[in-house]
Amino acid sequence: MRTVLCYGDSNTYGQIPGETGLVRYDRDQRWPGVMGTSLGPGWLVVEEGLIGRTTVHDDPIEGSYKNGRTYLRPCLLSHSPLDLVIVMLGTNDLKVRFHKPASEVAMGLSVLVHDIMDTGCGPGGGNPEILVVAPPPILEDLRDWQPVFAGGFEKSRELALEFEYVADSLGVHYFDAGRVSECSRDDGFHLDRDAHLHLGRALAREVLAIGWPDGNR
Amino acid sequence: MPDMRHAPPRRLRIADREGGMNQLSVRSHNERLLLSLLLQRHGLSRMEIGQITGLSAQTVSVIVRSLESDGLIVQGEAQRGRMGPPTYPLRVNPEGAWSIGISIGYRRTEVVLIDFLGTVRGHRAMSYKTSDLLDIYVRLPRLVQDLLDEVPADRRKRIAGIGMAVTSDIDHWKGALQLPSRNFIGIETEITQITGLEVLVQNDTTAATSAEGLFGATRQMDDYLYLFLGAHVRQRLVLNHQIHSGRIDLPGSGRQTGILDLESELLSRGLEIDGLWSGASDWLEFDAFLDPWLDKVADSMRMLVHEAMQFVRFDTIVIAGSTPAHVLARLHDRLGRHLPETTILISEIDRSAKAVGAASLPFNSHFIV
Repeated sequence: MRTVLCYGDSNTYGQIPGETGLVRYDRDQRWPGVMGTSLGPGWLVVEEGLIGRTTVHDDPIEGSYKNGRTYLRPCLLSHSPLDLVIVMLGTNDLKVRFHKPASEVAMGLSVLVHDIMDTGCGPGGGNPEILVVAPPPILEDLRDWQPVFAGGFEKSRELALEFEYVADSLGVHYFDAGRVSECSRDDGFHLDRDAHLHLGRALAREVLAIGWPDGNR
Repeated sequence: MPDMRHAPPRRLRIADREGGMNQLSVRSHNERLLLSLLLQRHGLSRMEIGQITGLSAQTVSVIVRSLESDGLIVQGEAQRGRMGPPTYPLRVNPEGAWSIGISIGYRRTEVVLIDFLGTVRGHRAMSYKTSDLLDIYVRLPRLVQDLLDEVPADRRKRIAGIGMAVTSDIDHWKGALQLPSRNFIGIETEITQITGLEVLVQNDTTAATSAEGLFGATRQMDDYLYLFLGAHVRQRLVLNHQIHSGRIDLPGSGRQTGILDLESELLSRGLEIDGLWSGASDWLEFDAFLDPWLDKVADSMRMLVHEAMQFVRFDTIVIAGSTPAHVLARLHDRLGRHLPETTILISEIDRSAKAVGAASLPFNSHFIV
């Protein structure tokens, strides 16, 4: 059995676009579920999606528990040994309260990658494979959330390249979710069912393309 | 001293990542390693590459992504085996890089455009009754330009460069002393000025040998003897992928029988010989003279093989030539009778092998380990 941890925000949680509160798609509709179905038996997919999660920031409004860095280590070790960690974060860092350009968001992401490598949460206390996923860009019309993400539209379009720089320089796997999915018009920054489906299938393909010796462990 | 883990990411190699099919750049060592492997064995998966090279899965992932986004390789559809997860084969993208090769021969100069898998995509040639360097020097740039004009503007930037294959005695040819550059290689500067492309020069037999190793019958072979039937017979010994030339190819240095001997035979009988050097002819008009000539060719090749075998052991011979395919097949039969214990392969590169070899030079300098 191989274990993959999906570390993300509301778009990993599966929040339904335009809905408020903790309304989420069913397990088999969310991208980690879709990916698990595509990967087939032999893979355990662990979902760790938190609404509003940032890369490395305590959120002064939503709460310090939204900080993706402080929760990362206990989370990894709770589920270890992990064969693969998929990280898809960055969208919430674009909130105007953080005042961060895309390059800074990418540096936050690179810290998470370093932390994963330091944790020893992989097989035999080594490193797991790490797959950085750049989130799909947000839309121009964010409805009620417009002021929260002011300036985020442009910055979100720079994330994919900035994240790829990080993945390349740290030597980890990378995928641009914007290649297969886009945010829903219902709120401008969440994935709808179709987007989850396409992203889940594409990521399963990416996971398999890594190549896993001896099939099943 | 700042903590280096908090330094901004390096942006060196992928600085032009956004643009897709951009200007070709010289690749890093690991990228070359991966391209060389994929040229040898089409369809390797990322995991197999990791196993062969010892590179980690994540390192392979980074290299594959970089080569893929520059259009040099493509990932195929999932291959499902009887058991285990599907694998994703990687292939060199034939459209990813192109190259131009020039071969200057005793009776014929050829210019080819090849893709990244060595397939000839464009071809120009000129024949002459006697080799006059001054004449070639004057006409060659036009020939290259004609071929380049065939390439759509957006594909021009995918051309890695120009290779030129010449015989080792070229500066003794007629007209050499009248050349503006005093030696023939000087034409390289002229072609670079016209085309804006770098020109690399190599011996023609060595170039043909390396084309075979890159694109042809010996892609996965370490040790073999390569025999080329051109104006003369030439040989190269390949040991552990290294090409050794041994005896210098000078006229009169061997008893080797080549196409020039067939030419004198035909001329002495007052026959028309244009088809001999046309590149398109199947030589059927010379059929009556081929068997005795091929006996002699096979004989001199056999002697070359025995000579080489006194120094080093090899099990495989590859025969190539600027002849029609059926001529090589007939030569193959004869050699097989002479050398029953040796595996004899026929080249998988067509009769423009020397020009294809020339065209592989820019690939070697940009993309291959």
